[in-house]
Amino acid sequence: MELSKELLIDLYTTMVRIRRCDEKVIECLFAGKLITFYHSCQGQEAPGTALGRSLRKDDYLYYNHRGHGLPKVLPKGMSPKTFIAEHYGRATGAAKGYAGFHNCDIEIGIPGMGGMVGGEATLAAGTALACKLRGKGQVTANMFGDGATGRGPFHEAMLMSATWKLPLIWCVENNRYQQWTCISLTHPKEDLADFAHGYGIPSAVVDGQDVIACYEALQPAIERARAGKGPTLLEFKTYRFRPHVEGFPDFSVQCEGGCRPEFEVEEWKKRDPIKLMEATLLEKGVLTEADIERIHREATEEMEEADRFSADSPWPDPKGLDQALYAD
Amino acid sequence: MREIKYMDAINEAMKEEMSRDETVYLIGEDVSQDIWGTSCDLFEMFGSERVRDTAISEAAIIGSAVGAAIAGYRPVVNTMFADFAMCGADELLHKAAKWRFTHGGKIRIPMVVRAPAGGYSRLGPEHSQCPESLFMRTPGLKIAMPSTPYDAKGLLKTAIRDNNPVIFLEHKNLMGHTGPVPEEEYLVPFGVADIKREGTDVTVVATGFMVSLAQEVAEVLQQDHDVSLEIVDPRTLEPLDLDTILASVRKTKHLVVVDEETSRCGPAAEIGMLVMENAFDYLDAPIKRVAAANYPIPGGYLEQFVLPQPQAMADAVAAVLGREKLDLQGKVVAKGAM
Ligand SMILES: Cc1ncc(C[n+]2csc(CCOP(=O)(O)OP(=O)(O)O)c2C)c(N)n1
Ligand SMILES: [Mg+2]
Repeated sequence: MELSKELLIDLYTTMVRIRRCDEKVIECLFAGKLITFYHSCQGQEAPGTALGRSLRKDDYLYYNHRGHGLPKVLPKGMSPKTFIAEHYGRATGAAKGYAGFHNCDIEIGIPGMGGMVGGEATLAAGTALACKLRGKGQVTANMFGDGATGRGPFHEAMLMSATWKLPLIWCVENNRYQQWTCISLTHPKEDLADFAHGYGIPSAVVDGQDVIACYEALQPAIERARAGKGPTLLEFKTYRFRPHVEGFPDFSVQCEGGCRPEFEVEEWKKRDPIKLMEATLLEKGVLTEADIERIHREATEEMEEADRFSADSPWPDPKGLDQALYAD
Repeated sequence: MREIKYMDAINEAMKEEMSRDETVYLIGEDVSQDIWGTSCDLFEMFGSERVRDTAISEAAIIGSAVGAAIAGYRPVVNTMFADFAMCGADELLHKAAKWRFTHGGKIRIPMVVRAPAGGYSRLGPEHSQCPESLFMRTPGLKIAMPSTPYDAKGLLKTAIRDNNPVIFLEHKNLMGHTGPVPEEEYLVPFGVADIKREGTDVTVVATGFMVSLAQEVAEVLQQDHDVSLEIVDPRTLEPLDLDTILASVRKTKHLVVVDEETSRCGPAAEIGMLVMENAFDYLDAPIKRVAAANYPIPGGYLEQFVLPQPQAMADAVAAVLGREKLDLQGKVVAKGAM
């Protein structure tokens, strides 16, 4: 598959924007400006970028807590302004400040996020059913962590989607850890794509650090869904560079040494998705050093602007609680 | 007496009971760590067979505990957040609560579900609940809600030895609170309320984190307004020590019930009604309740408009006494764990 120069630059730029936004949120958290907590997505920018940039505006995307959805919702079209404003708890946020970390923009196919890991899977099945019934070629994607595959509802939804051939793309970001517990302690096999066999649907294991590989793996899955042939399960092997949640050390008495092995983190950092893509684009002559410098600078400026916008935004008005609770 | 933290009191109860009885084991996600700090050396002492880290599988965590309890073990589940227990609702509200009854009382289900509960950390609707009414309306479950380190240790030991499923709502915001805990072994029995503060003007029934807030409010009301509150902490909501509540109401003639749960159908509604049925003639004024407003708990800034606040307690006290506003002047603040 030959990806256009514009698309390659777009994928790269999107990942850089995600990284800058994530860094900005962490900076704001430690400056006491965030209203809740934060789960950084650094290292995991590629799968969500490829997914978000592959979907149509009227497709639906369910995401999870990692970066509170940043690597999925930003590529799908959410502005960093509303994303950061939500984390500041402001009325201009992506949930009007009602959640602090659950972002929603139904106009661009982002129905939101729940507090329960894996809780979106069954909803994704229903949204995919609606896509199928409506018959306009829309699809639904659900991207979640390895941990979510422990939940019963995930398997119930997989079964439903396979049986009814729903236009659904299941995307698991396998970063080998759920909070502090390693997958070797919770799952009998490392390859979660294998779950697909039992449900009789196609699957693939994808290099989740290589945004081009992610993009290429997604296209047949999305086409299959649009064509009414049913769901696919894609497993992206990836890694988070920072602790599960900011401010807590990455400890685990179950790991030798009391935390994720340092060498493992270092090994994965060598495969930083942004650096890998940068090397590819320089080598292909798609971008110059100067282009790269400009992309980073613009992303930094964009996030500073989003930070200012958020800080200047008003708090949500408690008078709105009733209207938020029930629809007319 | 030595003073220790609430989280360490829980840890001690776990250690003592796991040492005493090998059928006791701990199960849940990251229980070898526990984000609220209650695990410490448990994994080191008891190993991975008895401190079982699991996948994110609440239904299997709680359901397997029911199955093991039926077969003679005494599992202790930790759900990390009380909210997550809802992912095992069938296992908890049907299987744990009803199977003994369903089968004519022929089996026993001795298990504990430790559910770290509570809000005030602005974490939104699915990480902030204190869902005791869900359990109160489910006959078959017992419910403990410790408000001090002393109660936490004594109640947890009793819970583990109880032959029935017990929901143990340990409060996130109390984990760092310290209080006297004897070195010697002791148990706190279920169904025995504790008067956390003696007083004469108004009875305040409170549980969990609300007890500590009520104590602070009581202090300010005493100092600044010469109002004397008597704080009754039921410690277990099922069984409920109604006698102690009634005795206090007969003395003060005024009742305010405080809980962190959503107001509608919450513990305050139940306790208030029980007092109406049993001590109406002693009341000098209608009962007031202070609880969360009838909304999901919003994340962020809006949380303060939904969860019960200290001034609301003072307002309720003023209302039952027929007094003008009793202003706390912001001296008591409800603070979350995060
Ligand atoms: C039902 C439920 N159980 C537990 C949690 C607490 N929790 C939040 S994130 C997380 C780990 C999730 O791991 P994974 O799905 O692999 O995503 P990752 O954090 O690795 O990106 C856990 C256990 C939760 N939010 N919901
Ligand atoms: Mg993971």
